[in-house]
Amino acid sequence: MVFAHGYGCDQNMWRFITPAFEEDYKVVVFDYVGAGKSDARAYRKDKYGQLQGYAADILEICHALNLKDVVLVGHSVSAMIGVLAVIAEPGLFQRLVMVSPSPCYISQGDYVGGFSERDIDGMLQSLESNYLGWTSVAAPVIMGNPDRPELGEELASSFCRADPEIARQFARVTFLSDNRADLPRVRTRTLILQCTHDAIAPPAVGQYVHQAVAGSELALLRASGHCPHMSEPEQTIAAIKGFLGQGASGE
Amino acid sequence: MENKEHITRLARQGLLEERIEDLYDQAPCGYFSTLPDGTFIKTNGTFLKWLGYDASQLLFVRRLQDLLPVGDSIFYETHYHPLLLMQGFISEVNLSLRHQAGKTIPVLVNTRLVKDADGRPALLRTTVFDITDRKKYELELLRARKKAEEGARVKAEFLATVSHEIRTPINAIVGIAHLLRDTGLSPRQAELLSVLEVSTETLLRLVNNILDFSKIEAGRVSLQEESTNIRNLVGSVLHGFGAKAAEKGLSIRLKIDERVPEQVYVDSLKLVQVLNNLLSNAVKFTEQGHVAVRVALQEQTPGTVPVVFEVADTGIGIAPDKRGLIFEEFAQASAGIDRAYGGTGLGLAISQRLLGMYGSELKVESEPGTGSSFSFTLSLKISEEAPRAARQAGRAGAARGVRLLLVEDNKINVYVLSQYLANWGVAFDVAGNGQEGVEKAGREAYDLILMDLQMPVMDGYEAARRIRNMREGKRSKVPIIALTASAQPDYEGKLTASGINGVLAKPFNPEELYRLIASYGPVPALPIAGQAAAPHPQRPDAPFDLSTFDDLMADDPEGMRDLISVTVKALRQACAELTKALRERNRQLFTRWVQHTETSLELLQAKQLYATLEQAMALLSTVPVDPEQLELAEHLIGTQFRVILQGLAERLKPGE
Repeated sequence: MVFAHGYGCDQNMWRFITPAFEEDYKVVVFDYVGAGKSDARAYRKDKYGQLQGYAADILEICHALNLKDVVLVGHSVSAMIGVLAVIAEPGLFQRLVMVSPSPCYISQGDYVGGFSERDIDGMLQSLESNYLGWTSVAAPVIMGNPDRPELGEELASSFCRADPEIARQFARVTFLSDNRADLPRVRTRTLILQCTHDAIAPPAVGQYVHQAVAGSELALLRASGHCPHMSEPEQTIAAIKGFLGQGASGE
Repeated sequence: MENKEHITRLARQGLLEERIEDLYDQAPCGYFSTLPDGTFIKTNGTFLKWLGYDASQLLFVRRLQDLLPVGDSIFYETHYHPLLLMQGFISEVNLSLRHQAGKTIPVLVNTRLVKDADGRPALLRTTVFDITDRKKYELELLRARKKAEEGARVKAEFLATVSHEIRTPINAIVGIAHLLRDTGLSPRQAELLSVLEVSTETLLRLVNNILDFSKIEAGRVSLQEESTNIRNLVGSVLHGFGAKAAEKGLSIRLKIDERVPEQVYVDSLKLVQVLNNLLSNAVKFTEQGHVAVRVALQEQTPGTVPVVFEVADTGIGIAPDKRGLIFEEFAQASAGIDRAYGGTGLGLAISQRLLGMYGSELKVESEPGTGSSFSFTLSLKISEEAPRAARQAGRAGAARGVRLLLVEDNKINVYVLSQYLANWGVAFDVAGNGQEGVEKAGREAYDLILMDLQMPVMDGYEAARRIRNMREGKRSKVPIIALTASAQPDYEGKLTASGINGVLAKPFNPEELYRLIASYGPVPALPIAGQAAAPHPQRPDAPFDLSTFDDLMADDPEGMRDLISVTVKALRQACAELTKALRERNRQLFTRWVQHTETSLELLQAKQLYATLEQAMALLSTVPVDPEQLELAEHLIGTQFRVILQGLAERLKPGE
């Protein structure tokens, strides 16, 4: 199982989920270039100027580790990166799990993405200024965490360590991409996890993805926000296990 | 006692508790609590007042996300909330909150996650600071920083560009001074010329140092290690100082530890630069006695050898309190040094930085009046490669008899170089492009190839690669030195990849060229005072405008006529090609021809034409290209070329 984190996060965000699968699967988590502890020098503007560049990295990881029958779990933008990856090499992947996906954030014609073009422009601008505050102010958060000592200093500092320049580019690519045309090309068995209240990927978008990906399943999670794997890990685990288990019995 | 009673009374009346409530309600910061999904369940008065809401408008009906502008709400979902869930708290996050009336207020928030008895997230407690003023300062600071950084960058770039630009005319002055030397000077004129020569060479060294320094500072210098015979290298550096030392009556001693391996991987250019600097200081600051160079081996570890290089002299020494200062840029041990000994004060700073790239540093021991000793240690990898033919600084010798192949398409450069080479007794062939170069290198056995990098048909990189791949073993190993005009940051890697051993910057210093060629000479000559220096060349690579041109004509009409003829031919072709490239809007071709013509224009000091060409180059990179502008550029270029060509043709007329 390969877990791909979304924009603004790194592999740490899967911590509540991965232990549940470690017994039955080889679990692979990674940081995209520019996030977490990745080597930001590997960043190339041309390659990562589109989501394909990130999809190529997922394929490279799978080949480098010699993975087969991969279950790819992608959160947010990684759901679309996952779509590109399974289209490129369908034989490599057994399943695709999309957590809070959106193929296009901007509403166009009949399609309701949840945001207007102006919203996204404003968001990118706001991120530019916010990122400054975020990285400069939040990076020195080096406090103990009495509740969960294992998530202490190391996590706080690594989570915030996104390279601001790359993060900006990633934000652009993420929020300005339109992958609606790619959805019907997915042949891999797919599960969509949709939160009941998600400002970034509203339920209507989840419905859209469900209808566009042939044979896909849609699981609605009673959760608020964009990260059910963090706010509602049990529900998320149960939904994924259900999807995987059901597949095994069906085959 | 009274206080206690007072407090007790207040407590009985319930006023103490009320005060704690008041503290919460009227604190100078905002407080609120929400459910994990962001719904407000409690808030203080300050927060409500800041945002212009009644409690009833927020509590249980609105979520924190509802008060955020779109950008911040995405930030909330992708950054704030996940991190909060992961680590249980979040500190000092910048957000903007929407006031009821619509305006936004920049705030700083700290949030703690409170869990219920089962360990599930129950509520989020947040403290809010209004940072409207702070935000303004931040923006101002940011603006100031951007401005400062931009300023520093522009300054560094300016320094590098200016040094590079200054180098060319200085070279011309050096060349012309050399030329003047052979025009039958009176003793007085010869004396004045000596002053001129010393000054220009000092100036050239200063500019080269500044250029080196600014390149290192800008991070544009990297280590290029290659298998090198270190004994030969040190020997040849020393050899270069033989004449100067002999002149001052100093002896130079060299002691190389027998255990130092023959071949090691080292960046020979940089090592030579450091040793040159230390030796030139040692010779400069020593009036009597000796300069001793020692190369010793420290404890050897498998694969690498720590080699200690030491240059010691019996000179004036350095006072203890000045020993740190000498490594700083533009600093010398005393202000008087500048007057008495000259120098830029950059040499040691550059050496220190070059050694820094090796993780090494220059150490100094000194006794004022007795002498100084500079040393550094390099950890070098032993090379298993068989010793190759002598490299750049390999063997000391004379240039006479060296078999050299010059691969260069620019006729002016060929002309100027030929004059020098013929003068020095170098046996040379000329190839007009890379392909010809490869053919000639396959037929003849040369001691050295001088290779231009940008040429038609086949460039220097490709030619070097092909020579390296030749089947004939000996000929494929011939040392290749690249001739390059511009110090592009990425060319070093390309040089190594194509098997080029070293670089000679154009326009070159004749002495440097002589020393380079001599180091490949067949017979290592013993240093004899007064004879080791390069002979004065007949022909400088001098740029001349039409006024200096007249003076030169008077001295050597034949040579100058030749030069003009080649120049005219070259300019005619350049004019045709540039016009063609312009019409085809082929920026690449145009740029190549501009670079190709650069030397000629420099020689003629055709600044106006050069500026026009640069403007046209810029024009070609705009999208879409303005056809009117293009036409104008074509016209200007044509006219200016014509003017220069006519001026040159005038000089070719018999009887003029």
